[in-house]
Amino acid sequence: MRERKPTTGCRLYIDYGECASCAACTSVCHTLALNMDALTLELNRPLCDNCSLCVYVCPTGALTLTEAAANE
Amino acid sequence: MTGNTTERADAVVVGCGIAGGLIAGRLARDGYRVIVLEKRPVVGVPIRCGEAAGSREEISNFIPVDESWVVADINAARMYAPDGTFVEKRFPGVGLMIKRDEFDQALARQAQGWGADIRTHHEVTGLIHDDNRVCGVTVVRHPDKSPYTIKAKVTIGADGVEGTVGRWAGLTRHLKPKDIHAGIQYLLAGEGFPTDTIELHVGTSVAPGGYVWVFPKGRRLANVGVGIHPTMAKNGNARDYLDRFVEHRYPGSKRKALIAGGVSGTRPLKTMVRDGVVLVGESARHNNPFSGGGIMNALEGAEEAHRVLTEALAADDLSARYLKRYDKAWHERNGRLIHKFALLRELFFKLDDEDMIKVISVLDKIVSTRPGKITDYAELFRAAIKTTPGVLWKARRLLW
Repeated sequence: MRERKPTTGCRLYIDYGECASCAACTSVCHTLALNMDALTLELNRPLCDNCSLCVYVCPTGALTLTEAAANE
Repeated sequence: MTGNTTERADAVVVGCGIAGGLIAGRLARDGYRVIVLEKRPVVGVPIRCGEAAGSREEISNFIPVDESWVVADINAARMYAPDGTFVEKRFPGVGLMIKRDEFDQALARQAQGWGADIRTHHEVTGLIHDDNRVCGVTVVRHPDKSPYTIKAKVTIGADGVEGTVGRWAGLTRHLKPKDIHAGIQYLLAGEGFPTDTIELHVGTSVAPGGYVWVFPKGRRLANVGVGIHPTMAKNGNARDYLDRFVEHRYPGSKRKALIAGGVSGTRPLKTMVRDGVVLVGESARHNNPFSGGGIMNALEGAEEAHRVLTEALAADDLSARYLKRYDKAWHERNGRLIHKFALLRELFFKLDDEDMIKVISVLDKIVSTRPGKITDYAELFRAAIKTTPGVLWKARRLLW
């Protein structure tokens, strides 16, 4: 697995109102930062490197990268 | 169970979907102690499937067909080109529309009847290793997350497209964007749906790199969904594409439910086994990468895995070297065909709307002039590719 150093903190924002718990995002997450805990999507922020594969793949648009999320 | 208790089993099955439910039942029927761990509170819920399965005869090889989970018979398939023309082929009795939640639950009850210990809302959190061998799993029981462990001679990964067992075992890697389709489906109520025909719509603006499906679900109901290839989608996400299709074709319809899922489109894995670990179902990438279908593949793959595992457990040899018989058996039964479909998928990405219109027109000619000769749709597409100008050139590196 290629190492990618995050340049900023994780900027991933999960809109739980749109998330359908389909786990497409967890399948493409190369750091295992995303995990479907029973039916709730969980994010392990320190593992996320903002590669945006999950945003790309999400069928409902529940995932976005935002500056605000990085400041949480 | 509370605290750090350790249990023992012959087999631990991670995930109680189709592959998990079947293999757990068959191993339990053979007399082995089988524990199944399903992280969701209820088996089969939520449904993440188009729900089109094989024929009654095919399904009855795995479980008696119960009309309570049958919704409709599928007797035909129709494929629409971007210009609205279509090809239709009748295949009487080719498949069934089923209720996936009740079907999965029926498989689980069958497994329980044979002695499998099925635990819902129990989530596997990791693998336990001994030397280089996987010898069990760590588990938490929801909702309080109390941990415990299970030592098992074999750990069976049946955890679907997420496939975490496979990733922990080093047998699979994360899917790349080119390997996954983003899928979304509505249960639609309204008028104008087919009753015994599955309909597919292709076209770069309706479903980039994939297709829209309309599957009958009974009286004035249908599963209407789309799978798109994220790298080829220029106008929004999967839901945007589906909403546009539904508003155009079924404007008065009501959306009753929404489900989403990623569908892997990879070629078969090099191996599905390690010392003490076996993968089945979607976690082993058994689904058809071209159509996305996986119900029958999951059942058949789990059957092959069971045949090898029941002997491996009897011989007390769960080494990768022994278990590779499963790789070989599956490859012969379905793996070669899955590989062909992966190539077909790659070709499909290269087709533009004009190509699709031409191919469907050629398919229509083949179907109308030689209806009896076509039983295998892989061969049908192959024939169409070879005879469609322009498409054959695009397929030059991929033809089998």
